[in-house]
Amino acid sequence: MKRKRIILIVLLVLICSGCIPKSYIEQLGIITAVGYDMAGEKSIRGTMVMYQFDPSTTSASQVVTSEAATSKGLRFEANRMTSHRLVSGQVRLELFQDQLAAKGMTRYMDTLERDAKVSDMGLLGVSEVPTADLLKINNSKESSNSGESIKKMIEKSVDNDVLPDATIRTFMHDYRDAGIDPTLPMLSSKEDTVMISGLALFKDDRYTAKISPQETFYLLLLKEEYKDGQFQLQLPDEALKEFHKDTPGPSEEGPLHVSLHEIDSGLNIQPKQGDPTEQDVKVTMEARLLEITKDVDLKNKKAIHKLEEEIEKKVKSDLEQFMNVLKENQVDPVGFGKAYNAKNRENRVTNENWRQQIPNLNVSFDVNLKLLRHGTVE
Amino acid sequence: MNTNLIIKPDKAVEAFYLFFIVHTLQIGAGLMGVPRIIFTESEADSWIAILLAGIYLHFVAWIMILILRKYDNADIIGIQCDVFGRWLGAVLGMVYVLYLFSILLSVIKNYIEVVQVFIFPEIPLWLMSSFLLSLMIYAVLGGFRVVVGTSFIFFLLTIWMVFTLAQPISYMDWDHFTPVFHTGFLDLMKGAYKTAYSVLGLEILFFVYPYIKNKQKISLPVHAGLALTTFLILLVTVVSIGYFSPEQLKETVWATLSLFKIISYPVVERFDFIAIALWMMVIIPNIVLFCWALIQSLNRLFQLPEKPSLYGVALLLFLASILIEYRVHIDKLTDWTSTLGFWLVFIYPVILYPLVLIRKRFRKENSI
Repeated sequence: MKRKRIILIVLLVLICSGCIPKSYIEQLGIITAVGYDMAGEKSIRGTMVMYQFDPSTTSASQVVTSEAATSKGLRFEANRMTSHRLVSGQVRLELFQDQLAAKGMTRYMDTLERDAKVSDMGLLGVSEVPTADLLKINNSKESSNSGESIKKMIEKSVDNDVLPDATIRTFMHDYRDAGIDPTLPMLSSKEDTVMISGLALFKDDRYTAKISPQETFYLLLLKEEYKDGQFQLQLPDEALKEFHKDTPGPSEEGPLHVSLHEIDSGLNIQPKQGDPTEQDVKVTMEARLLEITKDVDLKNKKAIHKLEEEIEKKVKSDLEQFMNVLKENQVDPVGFGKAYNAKNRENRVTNENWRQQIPNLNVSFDVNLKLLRHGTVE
Repeated sequence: MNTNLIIKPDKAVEAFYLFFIVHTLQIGAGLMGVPRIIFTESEADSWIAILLAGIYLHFVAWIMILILRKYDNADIIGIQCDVFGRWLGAVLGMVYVLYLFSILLSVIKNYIEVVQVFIFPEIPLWLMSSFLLSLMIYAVLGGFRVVVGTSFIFFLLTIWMVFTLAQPISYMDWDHFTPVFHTGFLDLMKGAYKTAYSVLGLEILFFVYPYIKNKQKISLPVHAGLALTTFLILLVTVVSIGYFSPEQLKETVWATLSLFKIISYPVVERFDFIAIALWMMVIIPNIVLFCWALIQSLNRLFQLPEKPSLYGVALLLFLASILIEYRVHIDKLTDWTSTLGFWLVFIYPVILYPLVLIRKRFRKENSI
């Protein structure tokens, strides 16, 4: 009796497991990167980079382009052009052409959220050139395909504090949260190499403006805390004139550039009670000086203090300028509205009313820098 | 019907196991989606709502133990017949049977739904449901000790998943919790009420009590199990609130499972697939214990032999699970079950206790 039951159960398991749909890896085209371009008024063009594990083919990856009205439609269309069954469980990079992103990303994001197969840790990016061109660039020196190398490039930049996080999860989080707007890396191509050309700012889900890598530094300064950042900036030519070393040399002329490394920054945003447009921001930085284009006597304590002061002044004025860029575009990637919401019960910021208030935003900065070290020479 | 049961010592278990029985029964399909449900009502102060619900949970458990201690070795079916008389007691027993059946069905349906959404969209309903039901029949056929064994083993096999939450925790945004006490009292109470479906399972105490060897020691394991349940629900809700933005969380159906989506290890890129497969181990003790309680009640109420009624119940569950296809119907079933469960598990014992006291006093006077 007992044996009979065991046999019955084993049999049932064997038969039933045959009913589960199977996916043979040789028959799959595993999409790793997708690019979306405008193809016309209503339709989009998709470029898919896929891996295939078919032993009979020589190239491991393949790029397919198709046109459709929805992003899942793209996959369906692309299926007609390849012998492999396309699956999207390994999509790690989604690029959007800037014109397409300017029309709103939600309609493409919806399926990314709805489809449980898509990983939330995939990366997003905006491209100034058609994404089809970007993904077709074949620099086999670096990675097996262009999608892979773009993904690694963005990942590295995020790790090194050069770009804010660009995952689907962060984008969706910032898009939905009240009082903060999302950002994405901006890509471009130059002589057959893909490069990060800056950062794309979003107004809700629509791409509105691009900021330079320099401005991205200031955004990151206001957004999160640096642990190991680096930065170059130019100071007024004569700012440290009194501390120049006596020996006149070629370094006397030309602008004064300094390069700061290992920046460790702290941030404190203090909104005024009851008024989200009045904010005090305190930035503290500790850094190491690694490069200075003029011969300054760094043994002198006063010289260091003067240098710190000058950099603080410069950073402060740059931050104020950067705020003007944000106000002009009516975007708030920093999350001033969110900082206000976290501390106030009345007059709360919502996605709707915050947009009108951004131009009235009045932020006063207080920058504090400590130059702890200055390399092996004084 | 006898109010008290006579249990052979070789069928009974130590009070220590009540910890696993109560805890594994509470943690089940509900935990997958609980953050959203509480958050829609109580917003950033959901954690307070959960703590309130947790305190009430301990209170109910205390009342239940008081009721059970008034009898020597009785279960709820016997107590109801003793208090309300034979007919009314049987009707109330049927309510329990109905409740147990619908919660069994809703657990199975919710889990199959998750598997279809996350892993196998193509998998047929009948296949998944026959998998689960055959495991259920197999365990229940083994008797009470096997039923307790499943909850013990599967608890140990799944509890480690808590530690994988470390990765989502690193993405948390603490701004989502301030200002504290922003939610009104009524919304907090609603949030606490909505926690109900996730913490149903406490009622198993009413059914397993006769099977416990050392009855004087049951308080500690029961309360420890409840505390762990409250802690787990608190943990996933707090992590979800920090991890998702408020609007996003209100739209994420299975927030707990979505948290697993970002977890990846060098060997396992997508931990959510593993987590959902493992969730079957969380579900199995659920359906096994509920089914055992259902069979037990049928047996006590109508003297139905256990085996045929087990097969009958499994067949009914199978048919019901393949007939409900739409997601909205599953939601309706879940809502209905959780409302019934709320009244039956969290309100009813509080009403029953005074009635038991009156009945006991009345009987004493009669006997003198």
